[in-house]
Amino acid sequence: MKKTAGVAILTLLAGLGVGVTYVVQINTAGRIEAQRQAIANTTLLDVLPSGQYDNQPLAQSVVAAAVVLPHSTLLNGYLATRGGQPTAVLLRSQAVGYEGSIELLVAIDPTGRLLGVKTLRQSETPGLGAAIAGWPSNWLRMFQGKSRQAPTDEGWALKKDQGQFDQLAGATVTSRAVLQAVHDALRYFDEHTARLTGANAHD
Amino acid sequence: MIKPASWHRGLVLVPLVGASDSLVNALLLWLTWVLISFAHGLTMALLRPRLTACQRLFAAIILAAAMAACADLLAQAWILERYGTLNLYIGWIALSCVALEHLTIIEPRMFAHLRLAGQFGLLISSLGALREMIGAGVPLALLAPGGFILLGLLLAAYQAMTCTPSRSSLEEKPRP
Repeated sequence: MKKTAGVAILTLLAGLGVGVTYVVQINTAGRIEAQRQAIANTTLLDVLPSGQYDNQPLAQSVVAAAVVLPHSTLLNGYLATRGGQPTAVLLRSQAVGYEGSIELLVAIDPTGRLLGVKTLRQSETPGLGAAIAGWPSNWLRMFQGKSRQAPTDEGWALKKDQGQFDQLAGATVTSRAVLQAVHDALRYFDEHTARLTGANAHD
Repeated sequence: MIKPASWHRGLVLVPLVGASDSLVNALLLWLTWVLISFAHGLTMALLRPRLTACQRLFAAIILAAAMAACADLLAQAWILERYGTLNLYIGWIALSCVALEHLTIIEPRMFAHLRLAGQFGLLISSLGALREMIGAGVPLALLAPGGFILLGLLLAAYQAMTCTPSRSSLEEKPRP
């Protein structure tokens, strides 16, 4: 007798458990997605100093399709504005490193100066090339304030290649790939400044 | 010697070291565990007389799984930035509920559960506070091995405090 009552209770319990979980899932799905989005935004946008933008840069894409550059591929570009004035352009660039592809986010201010470089994805050798990961990265910080004109094109190379930049010890290929991708991004910005920063004039 | 009745204390060791790298995480996990495990215990107390031993296990598993799944979803919706470090231990909560259901009863079940909750809360909050304080200067304290070392030190300090008087009184006892 106890057994049949027990089976009934178990069935009821299982139904109730599944039902409640289902209801909770439906009601939280929207919020979870919004939270995910917000966190993804902040990891992308911490390359910009806070207070430098008041728009939603990730919603304001300024590069329609991927562009192939000499040493890298430009995947996307975003415009950050404050009070309607452009304050920075974020270029998402992909280069080939030592172990695989490296994805970088390069922030450039409207005058063409580099605001910062952040590694979004990489699979370089731990302990050597992987020093480009993490935020902030000491090695990537040396690009801050540089532009296409300063240094000149010859200077935009590792010291090993008669340029003026230090490399990561033991990771020449990684260092060169990142440096060339940053240089590519700056050159692209220089050639398309008006289109990249003036896109919001139509809004 | 470990008493067979005290094995359930080992149950809390995993989150005690794993989730105590910040005080807020530690307290959040403790609170969630207290809520879920007591809700589980109360519901099981209602159902227990009406089920056979085998059905009891199934009921405990279903109940724990449903509660942990809901807690998991709510944690994702409200504290997603902490969810990354805590999600493993939400699964552990379900496991601990089922294990507590199988407690060999010498003392009343509720009493053992309450005492475990108190000890767990005290340890995890002091360990969390300690690791957060030291962690700024000594990064090891934030890693799992550092957590073990600090836990060991805490327990040693507790032992020293509670045992010293009794030992000295032993020594002072006049020998025949």
